[in-house]
Parts: sequence; structure tokens; C-alpha cells
Amino acid sequence: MPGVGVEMSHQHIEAIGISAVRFARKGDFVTRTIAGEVVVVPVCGQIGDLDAIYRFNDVGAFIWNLFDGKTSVCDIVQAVSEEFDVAPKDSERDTLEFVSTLQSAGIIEPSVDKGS
Amino acid sequence: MPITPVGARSYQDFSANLHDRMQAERVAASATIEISRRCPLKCVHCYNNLPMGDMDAKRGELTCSEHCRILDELAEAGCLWILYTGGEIFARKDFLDIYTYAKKKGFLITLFTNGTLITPQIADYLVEWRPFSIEITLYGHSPETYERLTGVPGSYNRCLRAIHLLLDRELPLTLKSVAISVNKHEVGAMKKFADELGVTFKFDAMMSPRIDCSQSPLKVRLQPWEIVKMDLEDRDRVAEWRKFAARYNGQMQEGGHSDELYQCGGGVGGCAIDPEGKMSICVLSHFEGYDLRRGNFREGWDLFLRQVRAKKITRVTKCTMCQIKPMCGMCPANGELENGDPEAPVDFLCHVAHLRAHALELSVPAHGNCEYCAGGSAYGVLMNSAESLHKHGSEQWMDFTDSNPLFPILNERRIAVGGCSSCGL
Repeated sequence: MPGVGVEMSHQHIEAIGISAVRFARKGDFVTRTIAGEVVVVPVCGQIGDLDAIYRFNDVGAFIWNLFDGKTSVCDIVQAVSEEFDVAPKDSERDTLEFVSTLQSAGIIEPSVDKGS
Repeated sequence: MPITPVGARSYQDFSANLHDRMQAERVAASATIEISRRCPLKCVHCYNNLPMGDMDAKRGELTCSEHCRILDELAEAGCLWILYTGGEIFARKDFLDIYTYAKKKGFLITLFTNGTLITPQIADYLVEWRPFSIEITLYGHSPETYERLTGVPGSYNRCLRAIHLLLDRELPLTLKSVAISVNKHEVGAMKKFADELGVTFKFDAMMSPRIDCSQSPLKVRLQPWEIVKMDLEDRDRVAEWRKFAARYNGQMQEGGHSDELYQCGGGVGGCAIDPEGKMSICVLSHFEGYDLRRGNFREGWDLFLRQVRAKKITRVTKCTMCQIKPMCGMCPANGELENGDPEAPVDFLCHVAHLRAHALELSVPAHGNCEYCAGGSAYGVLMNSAESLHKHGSEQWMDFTDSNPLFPILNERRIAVGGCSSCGL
């Protein structure tokens, strides 16, 4: 993994202010692997299945498992880059988009204040 | 490296895509689990109901822990969709324990119920452990009709209460009905009722004999022309039939026909499990079952059900070459129940299919020695049905706001002729 790329990623993430944010899954979800696909299903609570069934590819499933409230976005970007052997800038772009989508959908939330 | 979460807006695509892939790999995408055959209602048309107090039935039911073990095995096998049905699912006091276990395993669960045992507490519980879908069967629009069909005083009010309990809690409810001689005049009113509540409504008029092969439900089955009349009064239903026919009719392989006995998704994309743990192709097919109490799901699915599903036809019948099969409900299970032979054509279904094709003015390609094609021994019966359809064409059974001008059979006396050249056209 080129070091410059990582530095650029970190700078970019810092710039948009979520570098150290650790996201956690909201509510109970079960992750199922069905015919090679990862499907995330809500278990209980007010969320209807139709509103919150998610199908992820292997990258999405990898990131989903890192929404544990302990791993920062910055660390996720790095982990994705390493795990899937992709350029850090690609890892950063896709990870941030993924985080944004799931945050908008209300199924992940920051577990600590940014910068902590 | 696109990371694309798929949410509600593309659920249909998600479902169709996953089903296709699972079927191609013969993964059991879905399982229909009959919780109990016991039911507080005594519906005359029902194919499997038993009295609530049937102790033999109760003793034979899978225990809660057996259900949980089977759910573990289904999850391991990749099953995603589960349909719980009965009898009546809430006839078992521990149903919610089984259901909750299934929820925790991550299944998408649909519940079929008549609603009469749903209490505010159950409704509250379903809010917390929300099902994918709940379908309540409504047996009539008026209390009199509803209870004439169910045979139980007070059941109408209990059903209505359940509907409102679920809707008040914004649970995903669908209403549906059966159309039989007892309630056919209220199907339209039931649809209106559902429309006013803002929920989807569907109905089915194709009744089967009981799974013990008793023919008693057939006494209240509608006449073929009545079934087709209901089709014709509902624009949406007609559009669906036309779409279905355009897509699937006439798909007979050139120069031959499929030699497979089963042509549905049973045993390929899903299965049924009865209250005693027998796994079969579908809830209607009970000739051959695999006992999940004596083995596990994987063995039953990979070996037993694969063999059942791979069965070949033993003879050519009029169904073998039929190209309007999609308009018909014929399948091996119906053959078993109605004729005691999975390959024996069911006369009633053939009658309905030909009348439906006739009314929709769809061509009926040659398919062997068929009684309902022109020149066949039952063609006169078909024409009598068409005449009945014409005679009652101006009546609005379904009470929809506009009549359907799409079907000349309702407005003209001339009867179109089918296209079955093998039958002497």
C-alpha cells in the first residue's frame, strides 16, 4: 500500500471531519450469507424488513463487520485497502460513500464524538 | 470496488435476482412451515383444518425445540424466506417463541393467519419483532356471510379486531380471501373494504380437495364460468393474466416437451414442512415426505427431495403438450388430490383454463386429445360455460366502479373458437 496514498486519504478524511469517528450498527441485525451474497436483515425494533434489508458485496460485508463502535473510519479505509489490495484513494472514496449511505438510511451511527 | 447497499426501493429486484440465483444453484430460498392444522374456525373449503381440541393432532406437532433445530438447519442451508401457516398459527400457544427464534436467525418471515386469535399483546409483540408481511384471510364482508363460511359465531368481529390492531400499529398487512359459493357475492365488497383501509387485497377461487383426499371442499367450489367472470371483472387481474399469458403461454420446446413431472419451483427453490415435520415439495403434495424428525434438512433436501423433484412423467397426457398451462392450476399435487394420480389431468382445471383462454381470446395451440378443445367431447360443456359467462356479463358481482369493455365475450353473443387443430378444427 503506497504510503503517499494513505497520507492523502487521511488528509481528505480529516478534511471532511470523520477521520476518527467510530460507527456502530443501530439495532439488531443478522448477517446472512445466501448463495454467496451477504444479506443484512433487521431482527427487532420498529424498522420494517422492507426498509432495511441490505445486500452487500464482499467489500460491503467486510466494512459492515467493522462498524463495531471501535474501529475508526480511517482504520476502515486502511483495512479495506489492505484486504482488497486497492488504491487507498479508491478505498477512501468507496468507504466514505458506503458510510454516508448507511448513515442516511439510519442503520449506523457514530459511537463517539469525532476527534475523540 | 463498488459497495452498493440494497434497500427497500429495489426489494423486488433484490428478491427476484436472489431467487433466480438460488434456484439455479438449487438452494432452498424459501420454506413454508405449517405450524398446526388445528384451527378455531370450521371453514368448509379448507384443505387441512382440524378442530382446536384434536389431541392427536396436537400431540403429533413438532415441539418448539424441534422447530428451532429445523430453523438452524434451514439457515445453514441458505434459506432466507419463511412462511408460517396453518391451520391457524396462533392455535399454538408457543408460536411466538418459535417465531422469535426464526427472527433472531435472520429469516424474512410472512405470517398467514385468520386473525381471530390475535390479541393486543400479540400485536404489540409483532411491532417489536416485526414480520416481513402478515396476511389475514377475510371470509366475507358481512358478519352473516363470514360466519356462514367459518361456522363460528363471533369470528367476524374477532377478525375485524385483528385487522385494526395490526393497522393501528402500522404492521405490514395484506388482506386476502377465497371465493367460493358462500361468499362470491361479497368479494367485491371485501376488495373495497381493503382499498378503504389502504391495504392490498387478493383472492383465490381455485379450491383443492383436502389433503386426506376428501373432496368436501369441492362442494363449495365456484363453477368455471363464475371463476372466469371474476377474472374479467377485475381489470388488474385481467392485465395480469394477459401479461402472464404473453410471457409464458406457448413455451413448449420445439420438437418435444419436458419430461419432468414437476415444473414448479417446489423442490428447487423451496419446500414445505408439515406440522409433524414431514418435508415435501409443497403444502398440497403429501404423497411423498421426508421425516425431519428422523433426519436433517440437508439430507432431506439434497437427497430425498432432489429425487422427488427429478421424477419423470410416465406417460403423455393432454397436459404434457398443453401450451396454455400457465392459465391452469394443474400440477402433480392437484392430480394426486383430485384423481389419486399426479399425472391425471384435473377436469375442472382444464375447463377453467380453456374458458379463461377463450374469454381472453387467446389462441389454444394443439395439445393432443383434449376434451375442451373444439371437436372434443367436452367442448359443448365449455360453450355452455361461455354462454353462462355471456348471460351474466352485465352483472357486477365484484361491484367495481366500471365495467370491463376489453372482453367482447361479455358484450357479444358470438363465441370465439379456440385454435386447437388437433381436435378437429
